[in-house]
Amino acid sequence: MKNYIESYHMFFPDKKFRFLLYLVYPITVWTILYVENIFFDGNFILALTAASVTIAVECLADFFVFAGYARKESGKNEYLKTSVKYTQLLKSAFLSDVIRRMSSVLLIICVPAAVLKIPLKLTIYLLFSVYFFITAALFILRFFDFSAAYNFITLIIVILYMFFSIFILDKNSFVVTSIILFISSLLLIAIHINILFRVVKEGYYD
Amino acid sequence: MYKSNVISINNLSKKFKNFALDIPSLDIPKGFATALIGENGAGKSTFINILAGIRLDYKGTIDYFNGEKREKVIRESIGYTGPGNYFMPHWTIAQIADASELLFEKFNKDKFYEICQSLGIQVSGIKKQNKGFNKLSDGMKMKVVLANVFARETKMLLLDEPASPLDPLMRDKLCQMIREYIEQGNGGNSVLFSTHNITDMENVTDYAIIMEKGKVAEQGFVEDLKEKYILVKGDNEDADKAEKILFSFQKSNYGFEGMCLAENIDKLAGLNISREVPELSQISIAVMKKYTQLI
Repeated sequence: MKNYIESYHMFFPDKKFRFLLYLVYPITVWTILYVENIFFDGNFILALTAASVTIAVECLADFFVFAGYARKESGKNEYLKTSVKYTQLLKSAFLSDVIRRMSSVLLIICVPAAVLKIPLKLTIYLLFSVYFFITAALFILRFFDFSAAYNFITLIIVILYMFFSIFILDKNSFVVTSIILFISSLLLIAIHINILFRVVKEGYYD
Repeated sequence: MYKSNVISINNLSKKFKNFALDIPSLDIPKGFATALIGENGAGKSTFINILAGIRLDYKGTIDYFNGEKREKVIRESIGYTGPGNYFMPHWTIAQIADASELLFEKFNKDKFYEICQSLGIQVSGIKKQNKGFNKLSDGMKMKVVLANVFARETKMLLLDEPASPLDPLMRDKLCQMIREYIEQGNGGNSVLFSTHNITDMENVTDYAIIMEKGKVAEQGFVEDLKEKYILVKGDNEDADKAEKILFSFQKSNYGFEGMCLAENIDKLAGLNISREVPELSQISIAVMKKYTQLI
């Protein structure tokens, strides 16, 4: 377990980033929701805010960790490639990232959902939809290693998420959608990690 | 002079669009510092990358450490430094130390910090170096890279252009570090480094491999090469006769100068020439000139 966490942290820019990701980020989202709850009435607006901020932060934070990892041209691994442990460490780091993200989304969505008494169906939808949209976004984002692409694609993803959620609200099909999104997320993760490792392997060849 | 090889190569080839590395056979002696010399694009970096295991798209066989087959043992025993994007750009000295501990079993963190300090990189106190690797100067980057590779317990170092970004004082220090590394190994440690700074690195070079256009043009112990080649200087009146015999030839208003193979030196009998023992840099330039495409 320690090895997994250390491998993951190896890709972090610095220790401040850990502090921001593990502490400042969830507290900020909860604070926004708390303040918003004072001024607005309605679960759906609160839920959408929490979801949008979570998607945006997760996507933008990834820029500092795994930006460009799906690109073969990404030549930043010269030192790592000389280590026989590189592939294993990368695998540990990617898996830690997946688990960390699942935990973050779970924590950030469920705590306010419980406090604000958001209905269970909507909470489940929020969890799986947010996780799916983040997974889908990272699938695309990691082909880029410049911040403008990350910013633009994140914005598009958040807007898409909002439209999608309004559409689902209209259809009132939270449970079915949640199941589909959950399965899709798992499939996307499997494909994504497969692509990343193929790219790493190809990095040893032309 | 030497008993075994640290690396033996057979029929190594790697083809690019406009270039091919082609080494039918090459042995790198164990327990010595070997310099890899050649002009830009000669294939030095490709060759070192293949040996370091960061490039696997080649044909041929490479035998490491007298037939060692275990990849883990080979990789752990080799330290590599490169001139490109070596570490992750944002890594600080502390992050490099932490990551290296994870990546390599025989990385000594204390030794790393100790070497950093000895190279003038502050690792503690108020002036502690906290910048990301990509924000350091080229010279400082190479110092960190060298500190990192020398802090590992290895049997062979593959250093791609280690001297290029360093100042003369640091180049001297690098030579000292290489010499100490080889001495500490009691004949078991070897170094292969590529360089354009042949003069600065000559005092640490035991063996030289001169590459041109992806092929090994010349190789041997420096002392042997200095016996194989003789530096010849003479007046212009003998230039035409000498040019036909000399391995390399250069003429100026004051006379001619060239490199003569020792086996041909008798053919210069009767000419008014002086003979000198050449420096490795002079031999290297003569060999490179012989095969270069530069006009």
